[in-house]
Amino acid sequence: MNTHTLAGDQIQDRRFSGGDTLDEPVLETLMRDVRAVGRRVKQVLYPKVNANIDAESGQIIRDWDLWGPLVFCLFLSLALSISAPAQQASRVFSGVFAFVWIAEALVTLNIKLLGGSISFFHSVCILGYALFPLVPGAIFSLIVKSMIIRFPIVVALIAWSLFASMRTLKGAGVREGRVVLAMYPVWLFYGWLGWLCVIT
Amino acid sequence: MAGPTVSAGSASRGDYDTLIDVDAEGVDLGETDLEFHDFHTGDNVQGKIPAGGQSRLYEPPLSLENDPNRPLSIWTIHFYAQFFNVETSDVMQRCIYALYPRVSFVDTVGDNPDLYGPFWIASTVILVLFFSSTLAGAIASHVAGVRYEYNFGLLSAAAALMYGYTFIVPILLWGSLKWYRSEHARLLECVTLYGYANTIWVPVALVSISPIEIFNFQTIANVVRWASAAVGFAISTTFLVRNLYPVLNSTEAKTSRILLIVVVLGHMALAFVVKLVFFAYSIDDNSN
Repeated sequence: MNTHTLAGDQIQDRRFSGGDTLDEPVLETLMRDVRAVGRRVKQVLYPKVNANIDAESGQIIRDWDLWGPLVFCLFLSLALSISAPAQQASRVFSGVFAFVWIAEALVTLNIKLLGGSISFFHSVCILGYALFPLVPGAIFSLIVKSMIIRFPIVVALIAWSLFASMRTLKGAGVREGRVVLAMYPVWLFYGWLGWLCVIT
Repeated sequence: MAGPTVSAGSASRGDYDTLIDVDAEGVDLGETDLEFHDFHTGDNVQGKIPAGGQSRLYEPPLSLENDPNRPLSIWTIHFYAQFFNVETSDVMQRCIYALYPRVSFVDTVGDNPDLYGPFWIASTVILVLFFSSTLAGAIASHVAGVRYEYNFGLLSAAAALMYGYTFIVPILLWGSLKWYRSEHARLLECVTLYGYANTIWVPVALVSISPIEIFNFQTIANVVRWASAAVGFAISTTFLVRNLYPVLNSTEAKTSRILLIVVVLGHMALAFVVKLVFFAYSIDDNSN
């Protein structure tokens, strides 16, 4: 916000001025986006309980982006396709990639159809960022081959994903009696991806 | 917005003088066509959709409840929201009636058939079929001492089977009922009926994992799978026939009998496909 003085009157310019970005190094421009992604990861995965901080953190995630979800989705698909059975790698990669985006869209559409007040990409953004715990889960499955060891670890990671997405979505503005209907597809979504990390 | 916002550089020096004159004395401007423009961009600096959602497509369907008689365009989300007008308790109750077909399902649903159940029950069945099929396969491989390799194609097979059966068969049934001039045929009701009839495949798929295979009882495991598929078929057919019978009866006697047989045979085919595609694991299959 800039304040100018014009003909004796103070005039506030409320447009975004954001500083001069024309001659900054490219690295700095990129790092700004990376830092924004990091901030959103932190907001989604470590939701704070305090009500005041809550409103502030809601604002950070409300300025949605899809960079984080894209990166996590790519890493997840890549890790799962590397550990997939032979001959199926490309199929698993495209299958998981498509599954993630279609499922995120369907879960969000379901929330909207049940009368949720959340905006479409806001919800997709939350679901995509909450995918993050499954990325180490999939990488863990690359290293450890025993399903019996994988299982509890992946269950814990899914629980984290679910807790984070529920906490950030906050029922997504759906009426009280419908929250379970709105959230059930979210469990299906993370649950299935988690199972793929175990079985792969 | 509070007070005039004058953006620097949008007017020449002379115009500012006129503007300040207006504020001070209210003199007639003459031909100077000045307006206050709202340059306020406020909190949404980046121009993204705010959380409340201001675009028409994303309004919460409150207006739907206020005025149910308003005709809705099929391009709005409100049009589809009317098929999702259910509470958690409604869906739970419908699922229980589908598993335990004691009372008339059509009467319970009344004039509020939903698409939430058909879509998400079919999705659940798809994912559960993949889950139990791969888990059963992993157990079989463990017993045989070979490394298990899951088949990703099982997911697309399950999706094609369940979405296809849940949405195409009711449309065909409704079409043939229309063809034979039945007055009671309603498409949405048929889809709801077939959708909830799928509920039984969730427990069937879970039982079909039959982990006793781990103790090398392949024959018993296979018997359990056949039995659970048969139970699933029996329960969902009872449910379907019970609720379709009044509708089918509104056609001629001969037609209704043929349609009934077709419905039962179609359902039997589904049960066989579920058993043979997803739970046909044996040691030989895996080592091949």
